[in-house]
Amino acid sequence: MTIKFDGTTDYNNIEPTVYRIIVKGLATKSTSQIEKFATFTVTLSDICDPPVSVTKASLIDQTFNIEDTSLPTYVHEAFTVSPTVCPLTYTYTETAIVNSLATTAIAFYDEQTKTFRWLYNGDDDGPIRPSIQKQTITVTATSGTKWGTLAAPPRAASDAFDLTFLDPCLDKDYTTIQATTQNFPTAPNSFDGVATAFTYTAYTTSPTYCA
Amino acid sequence: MLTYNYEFLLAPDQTTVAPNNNDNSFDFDGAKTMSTTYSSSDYTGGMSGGLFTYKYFVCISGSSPPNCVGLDIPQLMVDPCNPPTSIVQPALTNQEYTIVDLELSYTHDDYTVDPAYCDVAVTYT
Repeated sequence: MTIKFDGTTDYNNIEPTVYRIIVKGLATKSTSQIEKFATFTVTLSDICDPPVSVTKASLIDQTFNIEDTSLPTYVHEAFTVSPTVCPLTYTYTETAIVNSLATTAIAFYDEQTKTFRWLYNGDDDGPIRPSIQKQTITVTATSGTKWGTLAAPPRAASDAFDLTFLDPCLDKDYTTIQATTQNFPTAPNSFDGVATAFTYTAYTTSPTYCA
Repeated sequence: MLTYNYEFLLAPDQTTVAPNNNDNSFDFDGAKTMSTTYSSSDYTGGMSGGLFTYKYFVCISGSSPPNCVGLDIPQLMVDPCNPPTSIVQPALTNQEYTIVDLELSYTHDDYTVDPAYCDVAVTYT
């Protein structure tokens, strides 16, 4: 008797547990159909508990203009696990933006698609002034099992990347200047040495902190 | 941060002129004021009456490509010689000339005009 399971095709269908194999012996030429049963067990181990290895991907540093509201994305490379059938769970940690109205530019992260989306909704220039800040984001992939709970400690791997903020004031696509109504001098000047005074009403910008 | 970049002073005839800016101040960053003073030297230097325009660009510092909006500051100038405040003719003295004389020379006094830098053209009939 040979019992063989293929990790790639069978893991998701056959639960690793203890199986009791019942062998029936039948005396085929006996008119009374004499049969006997013998039993033995096969313990099918979970190849993902733990897996052989989890290997990190090379995550790539990103930049993000804090006035970009298009929810730009970063889809990171998948970590690898051996055997490949073992599930991985992705989590992340981040360093916070300091001295700003919001502490993060991560709008959300979808571990299924391994996609980050960026949005800074602090409505201030804290991430870029007085100096350009960045967030360091560490992604960790942790092994799991399709079947029940792990008996052994899972394996994990991590890699980090930087999200560096860009100054929207330096990018015409994100900044506009609005002219204001001015009170120009109306009295004519006749080259007589009398000063003509004009008080400028400052132009405004969007975002306001670019002025 | 906004910066203020002076381009030129546009004359009524759409040419650019360079006034004597020694007496002029432009402080859009601080007091946000502009004070312009024009003297006779500006007039004799080529400025005239009419509507002049100070052409500025208001820009966001460091933007690439440049991010600027124009700021046109009108300056209405009156030609002090059109008309001048006054023009006073000199007192002319009657002359006698005998036709056999070779020539008679008579130099009359100047016309006086206020402002004095206004040109006076003298003709006779």
